Amino acid sequence: MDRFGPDLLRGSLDLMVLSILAGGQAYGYQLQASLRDASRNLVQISAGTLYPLLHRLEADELIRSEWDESTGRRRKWYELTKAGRKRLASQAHQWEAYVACVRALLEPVRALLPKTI
Amino acid sequence: MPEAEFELYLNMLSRLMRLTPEQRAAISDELRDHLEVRLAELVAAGHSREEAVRLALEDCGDAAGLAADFRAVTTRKQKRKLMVGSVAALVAGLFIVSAFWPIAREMAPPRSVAENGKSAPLETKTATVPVTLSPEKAAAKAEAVKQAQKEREARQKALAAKVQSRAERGAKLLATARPLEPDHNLVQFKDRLELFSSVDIDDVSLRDALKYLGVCAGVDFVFDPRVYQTHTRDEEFILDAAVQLKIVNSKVSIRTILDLMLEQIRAEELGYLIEGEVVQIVCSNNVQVYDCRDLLAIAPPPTAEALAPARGPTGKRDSGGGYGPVIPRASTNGQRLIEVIENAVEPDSWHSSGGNSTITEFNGLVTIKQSGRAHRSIRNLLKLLRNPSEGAVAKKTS
Repeated sequence: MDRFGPDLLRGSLDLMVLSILAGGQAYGYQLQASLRDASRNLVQISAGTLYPLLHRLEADELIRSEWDESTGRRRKWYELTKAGRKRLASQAHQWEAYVACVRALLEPVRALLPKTI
Repeated sequence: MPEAEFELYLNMLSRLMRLTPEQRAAISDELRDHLEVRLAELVAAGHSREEAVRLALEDCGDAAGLAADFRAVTTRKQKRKLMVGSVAALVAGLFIVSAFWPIAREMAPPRSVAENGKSAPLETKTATVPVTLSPEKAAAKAEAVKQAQKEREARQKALAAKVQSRAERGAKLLATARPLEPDHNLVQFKDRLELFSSVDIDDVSLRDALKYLGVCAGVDFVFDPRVYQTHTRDEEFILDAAVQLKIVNSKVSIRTILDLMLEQIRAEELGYLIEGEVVQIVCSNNVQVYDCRDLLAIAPPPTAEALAPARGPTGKRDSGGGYGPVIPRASTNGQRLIEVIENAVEPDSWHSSGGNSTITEFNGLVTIKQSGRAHRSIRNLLKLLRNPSEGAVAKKTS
């Protein structure tokens, strides 16, 4: 299957990034790679999308950042805040409900869908 | 090892972002880290250094768009702080008002107490009034409330008088109105706004001024309902607010007169739309389409493109984040025009800066949703872009 298009991703990228960070601290490049790997290459977001998104999440205080210079290069690490964890939980919950809803609506159409998904 | 191309890109990005030096440096550092790791990975995967640099930069996208996205985040942060601050202030204000309100009301009736002497205690009212002020202060408060009441009444009377004299002047002005064309039916509606006239209006209400203009130009003005409910900063209804315009040494178009009048009534969103055969005065953001095909037929100079990384195959930015409507990036030339407009007119109001005004281009037609005032500025800007010499100040030749 081809990678998901921007229309499909819009609205759930926040959720995806927050869920990766739930697994622990990460820096930008790492997040991009994790998203790609965890989704088996279906979710590939550009740096041009990811970094403004991270900054926005930080502005909304859902994640916090800190600089680490121990490796010799200046790297910015992100982690979830308590509010971020709460948001992740509520958004995940909402997402599950959404998926169930769409699935139910698609029920009559399922017979027509190609088998290889 | 700092790569020259990356520094060039980060430099350009930095200059495009109107943020503090610390914020710009932080973003540059973060992206530099990303670019370097990506470069290493691509080279390890077998790409040439040149190819790897290009791919790494492509991942970041064009600097202008990225700068705008970062800017939008900061504006959002500022708006949030402003909102939180003003809500807090409002709540605090309401709290204070509600604390004093019952006392003030209890104070009003016993007038004799306040007038006889400030030290007279309020024995009769102690049972009902929550005593949080000493008797002297309470009496003083009553006095202050009465004073404020008097002032308010006086202000309203003055305003009513002003409106009255303004109405009289308006009636006088209307009596002098003469159509500019002997038979307006012979003039196409869209040309009526381009009729030329001088004008001498002094302290007349907007309503009357528009009536006058209507007679002169053979144009009917209607009002969006919101206009009736909106005030200027002096708390007058827009339609009652004063217009003052004196252009007697030359003639200007009715359209210009209309623009100047609306501009005076300081409500930023006041504008107008041409709806069929009437002109509707609106008080909100509205959508207008500008025909810029003449401006966009010119081919762009090849210079700046060399620095900005190439776009992806679809020509669109990957906009998978939850930012609201996806504004498609138009053709390069159209994009250039959009940038000119966004930078010259109300820069902070555009969607790309976090506001809710939008601009898109399609086949040379630019569709813009903006306030009335911004539309006026845009019209002027486009006029100048078409005829730069009109705006140039004449040079002295010695």
